[in-house]
Order: sequence, then C-alpha cells, then structure tokens
Amino acid sequence: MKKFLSILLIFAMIFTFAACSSDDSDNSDQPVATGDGVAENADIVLLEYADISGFNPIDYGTVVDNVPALLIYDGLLALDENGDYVWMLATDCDMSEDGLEYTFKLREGITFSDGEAWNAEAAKINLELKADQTRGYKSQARYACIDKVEAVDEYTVKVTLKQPYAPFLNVLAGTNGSMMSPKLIAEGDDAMATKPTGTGQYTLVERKVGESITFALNRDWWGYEAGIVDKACGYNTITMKPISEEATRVAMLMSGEADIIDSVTPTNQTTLTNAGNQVLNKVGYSMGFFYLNTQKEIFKDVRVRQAIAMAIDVDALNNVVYGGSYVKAKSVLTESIKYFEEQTPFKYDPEAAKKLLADAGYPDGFTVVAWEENDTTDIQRGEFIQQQLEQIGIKLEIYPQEGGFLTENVNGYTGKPEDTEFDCYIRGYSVGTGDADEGLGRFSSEDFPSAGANYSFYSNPEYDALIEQGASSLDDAVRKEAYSKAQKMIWDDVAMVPLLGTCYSAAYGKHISDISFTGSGLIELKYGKYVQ
Amino acid sequence: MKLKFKNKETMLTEENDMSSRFSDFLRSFKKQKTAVVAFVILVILVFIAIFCYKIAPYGINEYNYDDVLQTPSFKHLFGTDEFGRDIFSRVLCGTRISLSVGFLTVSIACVIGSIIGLICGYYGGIFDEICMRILDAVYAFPGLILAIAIVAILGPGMTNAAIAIVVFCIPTYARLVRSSTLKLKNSVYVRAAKCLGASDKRILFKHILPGAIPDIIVQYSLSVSGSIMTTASLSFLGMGAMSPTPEWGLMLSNSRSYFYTCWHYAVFPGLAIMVTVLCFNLLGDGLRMALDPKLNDRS
Repeated sequence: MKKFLSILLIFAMIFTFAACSSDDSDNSDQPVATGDGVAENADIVLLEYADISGFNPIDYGTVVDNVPALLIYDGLLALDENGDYVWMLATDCDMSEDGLEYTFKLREGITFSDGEAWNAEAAKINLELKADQTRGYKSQARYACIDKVEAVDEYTVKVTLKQPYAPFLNVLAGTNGSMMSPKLIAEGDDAMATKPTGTGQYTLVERKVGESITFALNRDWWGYEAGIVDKACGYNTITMKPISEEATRVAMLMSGEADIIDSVTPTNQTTLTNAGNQVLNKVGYSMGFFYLNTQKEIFKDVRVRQAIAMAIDVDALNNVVYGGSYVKAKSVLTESIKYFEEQTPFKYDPEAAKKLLADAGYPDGFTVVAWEENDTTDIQRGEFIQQQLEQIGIKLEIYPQEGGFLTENVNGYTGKPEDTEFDCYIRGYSVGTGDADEGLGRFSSEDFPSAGANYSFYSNPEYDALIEQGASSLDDAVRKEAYSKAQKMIWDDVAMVPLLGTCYSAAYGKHISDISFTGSGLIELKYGKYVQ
Repeated sequence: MKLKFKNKETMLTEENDMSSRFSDFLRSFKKQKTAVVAFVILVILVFIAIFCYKIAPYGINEYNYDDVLQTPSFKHLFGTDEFGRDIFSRVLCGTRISLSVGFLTVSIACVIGSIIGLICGYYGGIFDEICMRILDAVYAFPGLILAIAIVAILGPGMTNAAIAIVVFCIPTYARLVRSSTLKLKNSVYVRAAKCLGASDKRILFKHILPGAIPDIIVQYSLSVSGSIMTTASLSFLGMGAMSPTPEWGLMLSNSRSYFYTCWHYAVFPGLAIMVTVLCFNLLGDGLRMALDPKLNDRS
C-alpha cells in the first residue's frame, strides 16, 4: 500500500511539473499585449546581408548602412511607398517663387532621446553640418547647394540655396536628411559614428561590431501621438545581424532563430513559402552596375567599353543568378525614377565584341582586376561576368570583399583616379532620393570618390553641364530635356555597364505583418506589427 | 682468395638484409586489408589526377545556361551546377588540384622540417633552443587558424594558401626528426662512423636520417590528408582557390545556396574530399602498423 501511494505521488509530481513547464513555455512564446501598445516581448531578429560601416547618417556608403538611420532618426520629411512626401519633423514647407528659399514649419514638442529639444536651432545645426563640404562625408554632396540656414523663430527655419535645386525636398527625404541631436554633433565624428541619438521610433541599445546591433522601442515616440503610425506598430526590440551567407539566413528563418531576412533568391523563396513563411518582392530604385574605371589607360578607348557591354548577356545573367526576378536595365536609371528614358540596348554579340577589341588594339584581350562584395549572389554575378568576358579574351580577376570593408576602400578612396587598385567594380547602387539628379548626377566629375559615387571616374564636361542644367532648373520641360540628353550620353559612352534593376526581396515569419520596402530597398519596419 | 670470398659473402647478406626488410614490410602491410584498399583507391586517384582532362566528358568551364542545376542523369553523371557546368568533370579535375597541392606542400614541409630537425638534434646548443622554441610557437596555433592568419597577411589565392600549409606543417617534421636524431646520435654505429672519420653530412644523411624514415613516411601520409583538408577549408572560406577553379572546397562553398533544393551539388564534391582524406588516413594507419615493430608481430 505504501509502495502504491509513493508511486502515485511520484506520478502526481511528474504531471504537475510537466504541466508547469508547458505553461511557462506558452507564456514566453506568446507576446502579451499591454493595452493597445506594442507587446512587451515582441522581440524580433532581422538578418541583413552585410554589416554597417557606421551610424553617421551623412557618412553612409551602402544600402544596409541606411537601415539603422531609418529606425533611429527622423528627417524633416520622408517618402512613402509611392514616392509621395510624408511630413515628419517639419509640418509644412513654403518655397519661394525663384526656388531659392525654403521655409520649413517645424513640428512642436519633440525631444531627442538625450533630452535635447527639437527646434529651429537644432535644425539649423544639422543642415549646416550637411552643407559643410569640408567635412568630407560620403553622402553629403547633394547638400552643397545650401547657401545659408536661418532660424526665423523657435519653430521656423529658412534655407537659402545658392541656385535653384529642384530635387531639394527629395534629398531631404532620404536617410541622409536625418536630424541628429545637436549635442551629438557637438561631440564630433566619433560620437556620430558610434552612438546615434535621434528623435526616432527606436533607440540604440548596443552594437557588437560584425555581430549584432540591438534597438529598443521608444514608447514615447512622437509619431504615435501625431498619428504617423498606429499604436500597435513596432517591435519591443529589434536585433539586426549581418549574415552574408544566404543559405544561413534561410536556415535561421526556418528554425525560428530569425524573424525577418533580407535578400532571398527565388529558389529559396519557394522553399520558405512552402514552410509557411511570407515573402516580399519589390523593384525599386536600385540597379547593379559593372563600373569601368574610365581613367585607366585600358578603358580610355570607348570601343573597349562597348565591347564589354556587348559581351555580357544580361538576360542570361538574370535567369542564371536571379531566377529571372530582376529587370533588365534599359537606362542608367531604373524605370520608376522620374525622367527615365529607354535607351537602345546593346545587342549581345561576342563576335562583334571581339572585333571591336581587336580594332582597339587588344586582339588577344587583357587581364583586369575587379572588386565586388562577398554576398552569395554577388559572387555568382561576378563569376557569370567573368565567364562572359572570357569569351572575348578578357580575363577578370575578381576579389570579393566584406561589404563594409569594400565601401571603406572604394567610397573612401582619396588617391588619383587612375591609380585605383581595381579596374572594375561590380556593385549595386540605390538612388535613395528617387530623383534623376542623384542617379545621373553621381557620374559628374565632382562626384569622384570620396566625395561621391562616381565609381567609373567618368569625366565629361558636356555631361557635367547637363547635370547642372537639370538640377538648377525648376521647369519640368528643361529638366526632362537635360536628363534625357545626359542619359543618352552616358549610355552611349558606356562609362559603366548597367546590368539589372534590383528586385528587393525579403522573407519573414507568419507572425510579422505590415512590413514593406522603401524605394531605395530598405526594409521599412515603422508600420510593422507582431501578429499573435 | 679467401678474403675476396668473405667480402662477397658480406655483400650478399647485406643485400639479403635489405630485400628481406622490404619483403617483411610488404608482408605485414598486406595484412592491413583496409590500408591496401585505401592504397589502391589512391593509385586510381593519382591516375585520375594525371589524365583528368582526357577523361572528363565536359570542359571544366563549359557552361550551358539552359541546363542549370540539373540532377544526376546519364548526360551529367553528377548533375550540373548553377552555371550548367558538369559537376562530374569538375570533381575529376579537382583531383589534380587537391592531390598536387597536398603532395607538394607536404613534400616541401617534409624536406625543410627534416633538415631543421636533423641539424637541431645533432648539434644541439643555443641554435637548437632558438629553433625549437620558434617552432613550438608555430605549433601552438591550430593549423587552420594559423593558415587563415597567414593568408590574411599574404592575400587570398592558391599559392598563398599553399605557403600557409607548408608553414604549419614544418614543426611536425622538425620535432619528429629531431627526436629520432637525439635517439640515434649516441648509438653505437653512429659513434663508430664518427670514429672512422665520416663527415657530419654523411653521418646525418647516411646514418641518422634513414633511421627516421619510417616515422616520416607515416607522418607524410597523415599530413597529406590534413593538407588536402586545409586547402579545401581555405577555399570554402574564400581564402584559397578563386573561381572558376574547380577546387572541391570552393565547389562546396558555392553549393551552399542550393542546399535546400539541389542535394547533388554539395554531395559530390563533399564525397570527393571525404574519400581522398579517408584513404590517406587509412593508409597512414596501415603504414604505422606495418612499420612499427612494437605494433606488429614480425615473427
């Protein structure tokens, strides 16, 4: 009897423990909603394909670099999915007739996460920093147009331009228009690169370089009050990790270790949707380019550059590497950018390309060095181009490098244009402002690295004049004509080979909803929700 | 007349001794069945390595964009990769790269290491101290980590990966040969040779080195497998062979993104590495059993 009782007792204990433990796990898996706000444990992991090079929003080089800015900072205004303006830290803007003066009304009652107040003085400090071209930041070239900034009253700021600059508002809407705390700016470059302080929906918790970046929700964010997003939008914490290996990202999403992953090829998308995940695809403002350093002796002859353009079968590249999801480049700009104009495509013809090379004095081809990022699909793209160029006798030596490191080396290059270690550079570029001025203007001779993104070191006074004309005019017809001419000129000159318009892709678990892509390919988490 | 006869006799016994020692070795090696199988497979692999470009049904860089990621069939025995290249041909041609890098690096390391070991062990003194402490420091790093560090300094590429492997293989041989040298340098026959006025060079290479050779052979076989493994690992990590070289590790690395959809892409290069490395290891074990008097019964 005693024995029986003790066995019964043991069983009872086991069941109690089992019941307890299952209760516990249920509790930790299910986010608990607190009122109508964001759940306390709606913690998510976001996997990007590269690490960032720093937090300074005007010293960014790559697309991924912009992701933290989108979370931590707000700008005066932002662009929504359709490219329309959303007023953020400003509520309105008056533009003078001559297009020289912009008067911004600022939103009241906002503070930075370090307690500093957002007012005209703070806006002035920020805009003056962006305009100060002696700083040498990577993404401030578009602010060179600012002549002076005045604080009219506590919440009004007036910006005067040197000459009319039509895309000015679009420029401010990009992530490099982010407004930093004046205290942070006063602390200098190191502080701006390491401890971002803004007015945004999230604040930085910590960054482990090369490993992870953690953001925590700012529950007092002004955007909830102002109705930018509703109260249920956002995540308690977001941990962003750089994983350059696509298969690893996919495996981590499958195992539940990650919630959102960036950049997924079509074959893996099928695998993921079959397992109950969701995918997101969008063609935006980004495009892959095969830049040729036109200052190098070997690429000075336009026939060589044309031969290269004719030797790459872009359609096959699309099918082989991207499963046909990308869009063949029809100009230097993607189709969704205003003033885009279709150009006559280069016909894929290796024989004719060979002949052109022979005419240019290279019947036996030559060897050149190309740099690219070490992301899985980027490496495949490089290998494909290598195979194609081999057909016409051009040997490509490719050196894949880690994204942040590569950006540092290329965007930060300060030596002579003809002395670069690379002859070619294969990389995507995202036109953050969504304006032709950035997409075309970055090939002007003023935009050589480290000042801008003219990775081809293309220098053509006629082209520069057209860009100048397009940027300074407020007349739509004049802009259209200038950009149309510029597009044709750079396309025929083959300063680089535009490859494919990027189809941004992401995959995320069942419990995530309302995330989208910005035009420049950043995952927009502002409206994101955690579904239970 | 008598003297001449005697001479002939000693010569005969010496010859007899050499050949009997070899047949002894053969007899005990033949008992190691797995090692014999491994040896046969390795001979086949060496043949493949020599004639790979003649045997391969397709060119290693013969891409066909209409036939990408095909599963194995009679047309493509091992299927095709993401550019429509025949994986069978690429795996075959990869044999040459892996084997030649394996043999070459270990041979160089073996020669350099043995010479260092001989000199250090024989002369001793301060030179020995300095040399061995430096080699100890090198030996303290795990092989792959050291190789990665060296490649990081020299830059990625097959030649630099090979240099890295040579560097981390040297200490093993130096230690091995040094210990044999220490053991043998006070043996009677070495002292006798010294008394007869033999030069140091002669003593080292004619009398001491042969004593170390059984150990070297065993270690050689094991190191080749390690070297092949490290080459593949470095290529896998993007620090060794560069595309489009058909190196096994590199192919394995490329196959990762098709992990969920194309099983064959990862399996065959992986199998090639496994078989080669396993064979060298088994051969090494077999050789040790055959050569070590303590481990096998010679009667």
